Amino acid sequence: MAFLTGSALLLLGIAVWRLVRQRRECRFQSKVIAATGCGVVMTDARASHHPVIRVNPAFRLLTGYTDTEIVGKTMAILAGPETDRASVEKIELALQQGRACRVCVLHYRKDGSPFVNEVTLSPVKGRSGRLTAMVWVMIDVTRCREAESLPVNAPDHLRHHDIAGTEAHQESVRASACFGRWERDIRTGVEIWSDEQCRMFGYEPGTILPTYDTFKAAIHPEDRGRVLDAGERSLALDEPFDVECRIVQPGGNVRSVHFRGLVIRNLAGEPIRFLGIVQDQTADASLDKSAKEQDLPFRQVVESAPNGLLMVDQDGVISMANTQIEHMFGYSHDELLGRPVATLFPARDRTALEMARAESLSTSGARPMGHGMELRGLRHDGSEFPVEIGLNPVVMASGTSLLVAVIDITARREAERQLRDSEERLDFAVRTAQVGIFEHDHQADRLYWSPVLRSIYGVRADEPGLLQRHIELVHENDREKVSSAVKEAHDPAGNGQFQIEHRIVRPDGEVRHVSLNVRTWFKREGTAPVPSRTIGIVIDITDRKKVEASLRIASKMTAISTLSGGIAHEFNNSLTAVLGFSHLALPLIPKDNKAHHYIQQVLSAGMESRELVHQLLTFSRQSEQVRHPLPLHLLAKEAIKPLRSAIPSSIELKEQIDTSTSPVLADTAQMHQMIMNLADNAIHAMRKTGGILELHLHDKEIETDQITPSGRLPAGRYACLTVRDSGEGMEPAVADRIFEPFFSGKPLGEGRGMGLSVVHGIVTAHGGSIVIDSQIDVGTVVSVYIPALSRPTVAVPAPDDSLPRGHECVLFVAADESFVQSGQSMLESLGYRLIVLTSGTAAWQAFHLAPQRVDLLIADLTLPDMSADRLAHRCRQLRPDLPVILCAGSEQALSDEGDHVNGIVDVVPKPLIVQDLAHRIRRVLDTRAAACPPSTEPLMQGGERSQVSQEGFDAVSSRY
Amino acid sequence: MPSVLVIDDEDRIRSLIREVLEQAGYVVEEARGGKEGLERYRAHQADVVIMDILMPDQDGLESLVTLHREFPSSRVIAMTGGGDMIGILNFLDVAKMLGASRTLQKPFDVNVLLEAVAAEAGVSSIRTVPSHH
Repeated sequence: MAFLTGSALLLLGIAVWRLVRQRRECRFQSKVIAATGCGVVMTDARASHHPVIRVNPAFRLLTGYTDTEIVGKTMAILAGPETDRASVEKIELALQQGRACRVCVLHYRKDGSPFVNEVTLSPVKGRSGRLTAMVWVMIDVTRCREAESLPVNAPDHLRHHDIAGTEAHQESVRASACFGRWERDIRTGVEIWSDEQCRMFGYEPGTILPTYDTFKAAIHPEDRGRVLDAGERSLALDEPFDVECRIVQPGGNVRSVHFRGLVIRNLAGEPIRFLGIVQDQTADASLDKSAKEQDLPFRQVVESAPNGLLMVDQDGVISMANTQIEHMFGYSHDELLGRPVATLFPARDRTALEMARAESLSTSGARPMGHGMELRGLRHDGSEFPVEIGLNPVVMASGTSLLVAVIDITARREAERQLRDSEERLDFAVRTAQVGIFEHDHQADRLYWSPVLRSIYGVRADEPGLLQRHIELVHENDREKVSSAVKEAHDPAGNGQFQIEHRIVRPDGEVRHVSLNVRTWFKREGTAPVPSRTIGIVIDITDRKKVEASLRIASKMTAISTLSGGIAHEFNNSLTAVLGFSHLALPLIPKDNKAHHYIQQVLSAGMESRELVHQLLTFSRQSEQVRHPLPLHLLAKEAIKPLRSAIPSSIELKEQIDTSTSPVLADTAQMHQMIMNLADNAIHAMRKTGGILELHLHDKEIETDQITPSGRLPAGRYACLTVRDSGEGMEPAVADRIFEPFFSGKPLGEGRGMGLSVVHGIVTAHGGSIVIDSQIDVGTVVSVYIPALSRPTVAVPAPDDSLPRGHECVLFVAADESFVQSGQSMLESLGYRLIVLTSGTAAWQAFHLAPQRVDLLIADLTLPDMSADRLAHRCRQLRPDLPVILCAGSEQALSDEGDHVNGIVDVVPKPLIVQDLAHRIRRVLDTRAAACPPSTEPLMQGGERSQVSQEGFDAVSSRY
Repeated sequence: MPSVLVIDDEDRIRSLIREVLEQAGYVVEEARGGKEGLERYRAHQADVVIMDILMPDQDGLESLVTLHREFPSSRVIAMTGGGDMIGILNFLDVAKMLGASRTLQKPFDVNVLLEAVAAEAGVSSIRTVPSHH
């Protein structure tokens, strides 16, 4: 092959220069030289340094030097750092001796890229026979050398070009960088193809014997005619053979090729040889192969770049694309090449892209990446993604192209969005939580106050944040502690953090409590760290402080009540002794003896103490009540009786008690206590002046919900007890606090004790409300509202003597107020000893303390905590013979119950009718009595069987 | 003369009650606690028993129950100094369930005491201490 190459070229060179002498030589020569893909240079052999006279266009493409740059210079310009001396010497020898030679030498292009140059030197002798010029025919055989696996005089780094880059890339580069050489002996018809040509046509070298037919067959059918015509013309008319067409490889691959050739004639002008080259230009029709070769290193750079890189030619078509682009957009390499770059972007972004492209190319200034455009990229599958592109015009051998860098900024966008979301959330949290933020930049001495902070401090939005102002707002009593905390925080030796609660005084005068949390960051400046930035968080905790304060008061109250309950027992014991012995002593002392009077004082003081302890106890056990339906008017009348005798004569007692007042669900003792305390207070208010004490009790209907000092007073019916005095009255400030224990508004020593606070506690515990109306020197009216019970649905008949009665102990358990009331009245009227409880749990507790005590259990089915049948069942477990009567409200319940409780159970429908009830009770009790040994005492049961469970014991004991 | 057994752990209280009752003509026995009280009662069944049932060592309740079990016809006045509630139960109910006939709240008026004893003993008031009012 080397021989063929060399001899073909030699023939070419010689033939060419022979023809030069003929008249059509120049033109022909020019055509040929111009048309050939080989670089052809003519140097002047008459000068010893062999300057260049002329070069052909292909030389420029091969080396990058224009003719103006090279004419007059020597070919040594092509030598470079790794050009081997041996080849250079060979050439020089040939030049000196004027001989032809052929040598492969490493030459360098203008841009410094190396290539293997196959140089064929042909001497030109003048008429005198002396050497006038040398013709250098040059071919870049870099790729071919490697492809042909011939030892190459090339340094190693050239080989590595092949290793980078993709298979397809290699393929196309190889294909396009090489020439196929062909030669036909016209007389014999023998075709000779170079190996490269074989490959180009799709055959392994050596596997095919090329013939004219093979050649013809390889040409694409559509182009065949044209090509063969051109061939004929060349043969006939001596026209240069220069034709581009397609060939079809046996595998079906279509390649675009460029044939260039010459006809060699004998002296008679007959064609003897037809030879030439063929160049594969499939990959890129617009670029010359040399240009492609030149761009090779550039390609490597593009390929290895971390970003997506595209080369876009002046028509906007992609000429180069690296794998990142392939992955990014979802196209294969082949799909990208030749594609208009605009198709990689959605329609709406194309205009912007076009404009940017045009601008870049025209100004030929790179648009740096920093100011890149942000567009969306359009993938093969139609999806879009955010990209940033940078446009850089690049001047290459093949013209100005645009290097487009594409970065997928999806991740960056996502991070930006997350940051925005996070900031929004933070903003929202800060605003919602009403957290005030300040930031102090120590270096710039700037203080930033957030809007929430301003609202906490009560400063306007436009007021500048100043440290001075900050300090002013701190309550003067707290300033010292705040500034020392700040100083400590600014101390680099510490951890720069502090948390402090202090008061502020807002511009409008309001005092608020705030919690301040500060952190300082330090930085090194010189030798010591200094504060650089401080951030503070401020929260208004005024409300929290209020709650804490009231909780403290409440827990104080609880402590008092617990304590008082605890000491009461001991106290009472001692009091018993004091009162008792004083009582005994008194009659023993003559009245005229001073001791008599002293003992009287002792007794009197003792009585007061008893009263006080009683109040304390009432106060302490307000949660423990047993409420019954209570006709308040009866109680009021009862309470007033002792009052009449107790009040001083200066005070007149008036009463207006409506006997039709609705009953209330109340604890008798506590109601009594309440009335006594109220009367007591009124009397005390009038102790100096005397006056009128009025007691009113009647129903009152509240139309709409109201707010009173002791809370809400919902609309409804109430029993209203009013105690009015004409005493000294109270200031409003005093009236507001009159229910606080031990508060009296009076100087020390005249304390009123717990009287009214006990009343307040009792009233609220009963679900009622208390209202005070007082005027100095006019008097005070205290009104107590207790919710009224709805009227009983069953009228309680007067006790009927004809009804069977009894004295047994009945445990009556019911929750419904009116039912309790009616049932109780009925049972009492029948003479039974009642234990009335309103919950199943209480009933069970009471029962199992002494199961034998109870003669009959009457329970309402609808109990809140424990169903009646369950209660009965448990009681029956302790006392199997216990008579049980259940009260049911519906037919259904009537039939269901009774099955779950073993033994006798009578179910009575509601509402209760006294006659029916009386008979049932007697029947049940008498039946049971008949079944058991008779007992003599109506108050006790079967004697020896009464056992109190240990549990009940402990329960009772521990409670006390 | 009706006899009364006073059971209380406080010396002063027993002493006071003894004074009051003896002046009224009763024969008074004392016991320091429930156990002693039971022993005494077993030895001699007084007409009336006055018992502080809520004594610190809690044997008042148990003693009451035991006493009533052994002597169902005993008349017991239960005394209390701590208010009238045990848990959610009214003390009155509890005492009655446990066998007491009536209750007496400390500190009591001596006349109240005398009336209670008289009632339980089944006699009309023998003598009352003059009221100081």
